[in-house]
Order: sequence, then C-alpha cells, then structure tokens
Amino acid sequence: MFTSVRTTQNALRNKKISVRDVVSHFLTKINEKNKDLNVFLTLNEDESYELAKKYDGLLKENPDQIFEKYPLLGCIVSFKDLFLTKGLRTTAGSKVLDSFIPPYSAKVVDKIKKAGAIIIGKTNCDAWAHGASGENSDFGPTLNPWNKAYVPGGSSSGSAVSVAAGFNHVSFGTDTGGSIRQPANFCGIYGLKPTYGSVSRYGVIAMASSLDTVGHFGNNISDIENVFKISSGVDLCDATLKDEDKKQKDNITVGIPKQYFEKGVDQVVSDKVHEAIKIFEKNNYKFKEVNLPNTKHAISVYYIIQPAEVCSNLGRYDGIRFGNPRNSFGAEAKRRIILGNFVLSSGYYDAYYKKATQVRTLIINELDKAFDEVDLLIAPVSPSQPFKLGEKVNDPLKMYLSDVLTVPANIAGIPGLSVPFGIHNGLSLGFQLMGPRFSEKLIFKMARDFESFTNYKFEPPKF
Amino acid sequence: MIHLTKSDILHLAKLSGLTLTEKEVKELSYDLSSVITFFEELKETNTKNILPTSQTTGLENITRADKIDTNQTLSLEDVMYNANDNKNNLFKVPIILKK
Repeated sequence: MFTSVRTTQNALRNKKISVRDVVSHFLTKINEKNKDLNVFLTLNEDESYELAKKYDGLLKENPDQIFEKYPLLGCIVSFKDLFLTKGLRTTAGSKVLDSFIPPYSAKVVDKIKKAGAIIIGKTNCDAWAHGASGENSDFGPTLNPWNKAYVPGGSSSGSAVSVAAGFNHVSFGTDTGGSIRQPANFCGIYGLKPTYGSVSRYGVIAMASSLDTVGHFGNNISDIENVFKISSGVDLCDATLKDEDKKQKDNITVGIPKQYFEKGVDQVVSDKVHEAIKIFEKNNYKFKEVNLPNTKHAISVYYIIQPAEVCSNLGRYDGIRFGNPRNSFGAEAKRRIILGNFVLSSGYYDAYYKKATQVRTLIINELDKAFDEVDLLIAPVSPSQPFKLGEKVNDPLKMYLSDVLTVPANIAGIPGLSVPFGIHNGLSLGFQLMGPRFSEKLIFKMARDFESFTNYKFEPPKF
Repeated sequence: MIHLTKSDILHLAKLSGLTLTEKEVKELSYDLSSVITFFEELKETNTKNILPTSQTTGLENITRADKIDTNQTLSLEDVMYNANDNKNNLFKVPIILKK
C-alpha cells in the first residue's frame, strides 16, 4: 500500500487510508530507524501533518477530480540537503551552512509541492555534493541499508537510502558526476540523471554549473517517469533550460560501449550487465558494440573542469551575508577549491583547463557519432559493488577513479538511468541506460520493458 | 611526477581565501600532486583545432523581460535573517584596509 505512489494513490481513492496515515506511516518508520542509517538531517513533521490534513479535507470534498489538480497527492518525498526549502534548514551537508534557513525555495521544490507531494525532510549528503560514498558529510556518513559496514554511494547518499529503506516514495538528488546513478546502484533502486537543461536548478546549491543536473530516486520506473514529467520544463529562472522531446520509436538498437567493460570493472558487475543484455535480446532488442576510446580521458576532464567550477561557486561563501566563515569548509571542499584554482591559474590554464574543455569536445563528438548508429547505450554504473566505509576515504585519487563510468554522461549533458538488477553477496547490482540529449522517454520505455520481462518487484533490504 | 610544493599550496590557499594548518598543507601537497600527475595522460590526445566546450545546451542569449517580479523579491528582513552580524540593516564586514 505504501510501496509506490500508484499503490498509495489507489488506496487513497478507495478510502482504505488517509493522507495522514501515509505521512504517519513514513514518519513512524523514520523516527524508529533513521538513527541506524543517518539519512535525514532535518525533518518537516509539522508541515507534513498540516498538509495531510488539508489534502484529506480536499479528498473528502472532491474525490474524483482532486488527482487531476494534484497528480502527486499522497506522494511523500525528500530532498537532498542541497535544495533550498523556504523556512526549513538547508546545510549542503556542510558545517558552513549548519544553521542556514533559506528565504526562498528551489523551483523544483515549489513545483513538486504544487503537484500535491509532501516534503517529509532533508537528506544527508557528501558536503557540497563532493564525494562518491557519503563519507564527506560533515554530519557523519549515511550507511548502506543492505549492509551497514558498506557505503551507500554518494554524493546523494541520504536520498538513495531514504528510498531503499522505505522512508519515502521518492527523493530528489543532484548528479554532477554520478551522484544519483551511483548511489541508486549501490542501494538497489532506480536513479535518474536527466538531460542537462531539462530540470530547473534555480535554488539548488551549485557545485559545477556546466555539469550539475537535478534528478530523483524511486523504487519503480513509473514513479520515476511521473515525477520527471512534473519536475522538468522551462522556467524563467534557470537560463539553461530547454523544452525538447526526442522522437519515440519501437525498435530500439542498443550500443554496448566496450570501453565500459574493460580492466578495472569487476567481473560480477559486467557479468550482470551481460545477463540483462541476454534478457533484452530474448525479447527482440538489438545490440551492437560501439567504440568510445576517449572514455578513458573522462576522469581527467571531469576532475579538471569540475573543481574549476567548484572553486568559483564556493567563492560566494564568505560567512558575512549567511553561513559560517570559510574555515568551516571540510577537507574535500578545500581540496577541490585548491585544485580548481590550480587548474585555472595563470601558467597552468592552457595545459589543464583549456585542454580539458577541448577533450570534452572530443568525448561529446564521439558520443554523438555513436548515437547515429544506436538509440541508447547500456553499461555498468560503477566499476565495483559498494565498498566498505573507510576503504577509499584516505585516497582521493582512488575515490575519484570510481566515477569513471558515470562522468561521461555529465561531460556530454546526456541522460542516464540506473536500473537495479539483482543482489550478490548481500549487496545490490544493476546497470545504466544512457541516450542522446532529451531521450528520457526512450530510456523509460526500455526500463519499463525490463520491469515486465523480469516481473520486477521492489524487494526492500532488511536492516 | 608533478610536485606541488608547500609554497605552491600556500599561494593557492591565499587565492582561495582559505587558511590551512601545517598538516593540511602537507596532505594537500601529497594528494594533489598525485591527482595532477594523473592528468598528464591528457597530453596524449590531439586537440589541435578542436574548439573547447563550456556548455552543452547550445542555447545562447536567454533573456527575460527586465521587470521586477514581486514573487521573486525578498523582504529586507528575509535578506538579513541569516547574517551573523548586522546593524541597521547593514551587513557588518571585516576590516580590510588599515590606517
């Protein structure tokens, strides 16, 4: 009844439950279990119950049309603590903003609320979205609900776990280099990184502006699709937005980029993607190997461009107008600010920053060419299954290298979806689908087909 | 191997508006030297006549009417609310010029 938005809405329609029951179901679970996993930094209990009361009244008055006006009525969501929420503390996972109360909300927060969703709280994340494990949060790491000795992935760590642990239906995160797809993969759920420029970033604390995207987590493809429909679209606040929809087609040809299966990718991870490919093939999907040799440069390109943009975006935190002074930055933020200023500094600019932006062009051209031949790409999300807490935390380069399969989509601005598929040694596995810019619908179709081919049903972890 | 020295790090910290402890300088010098050395692999790519990419939308000159939108305007109270130190609706800033 509480698993997906659809089942909850059906139960509301049939008067089996009230919106108050939905809110109380999730809040009870959070209050009981959040301390085991460290998912929420701030809860929004009072407003959640107030809105539940309002919607229960509206449901009584006008049960038939209410879902047209509020398509997300009964949907309980959370936001990564990078999204400004008016009147509700927003920290970015950093001590710099540990008591910051935003005076306005992000556009996407307003949009989701207007559609009837109830925001239950703000989730933990790597500070400023810098990280692939959740361990860089200044408020302590979030733990993986499948096995608490392991990381849940990052940087949208709390958001991924909130969905996997059944603390809410859907959670919003940001993906600059894999921060939605990788934690979704590590937690056994869906995670969508949309096309750059499809969802407004106004009011979302900026990390690297040419790479940042807003997306979300869910435990089934229909929730992912419906929430994307509502969250995307042009506003007059984020100038990078574009309304575009790629043409639909029935016979999809999928590319297998061989560089995504090469050394460094664990056997169990690539075997699972090939198992998925076999299932698709049995159901008349066509596959074709594609060659993307510049993929190997993606990490260097990303870790030059991204810190360059980070050091500029974090320049605004002066502790004067809001927040604490700059000495409150944690180790990873300092590392990226310094690295960014290095690659931009005179004498090094051409060799690093300019070179990286040129190789970025090569990576984009190569992907464009691949999409002339195939409609979508299938690949692993992360080279390994979740790693243990503390395993990579003292070796930044090693941590950065674990982003190798997710950063190309950000570099090129294309969409990617993490699809869960199976469990090995008690930890989750899956694959990602990528497509040309604005090909979300095609990606959703392929993921929906996979749900029906495999009779997918979300099996939550026991923790 | 490219090596960022202690004075390189201190110079960058100054540009970054950060103060670092002795231990942080040492760690950053070690960590960032290995990261930057890794970047050397980019040298093998041929980027002659390749234009740099700074954004992927293809959009240009997105503008809106130059009109005040009162829905997007914050009250003075809201603007000052998060400031650590303010007086008469002014932000108090550290002294940067000395007599």
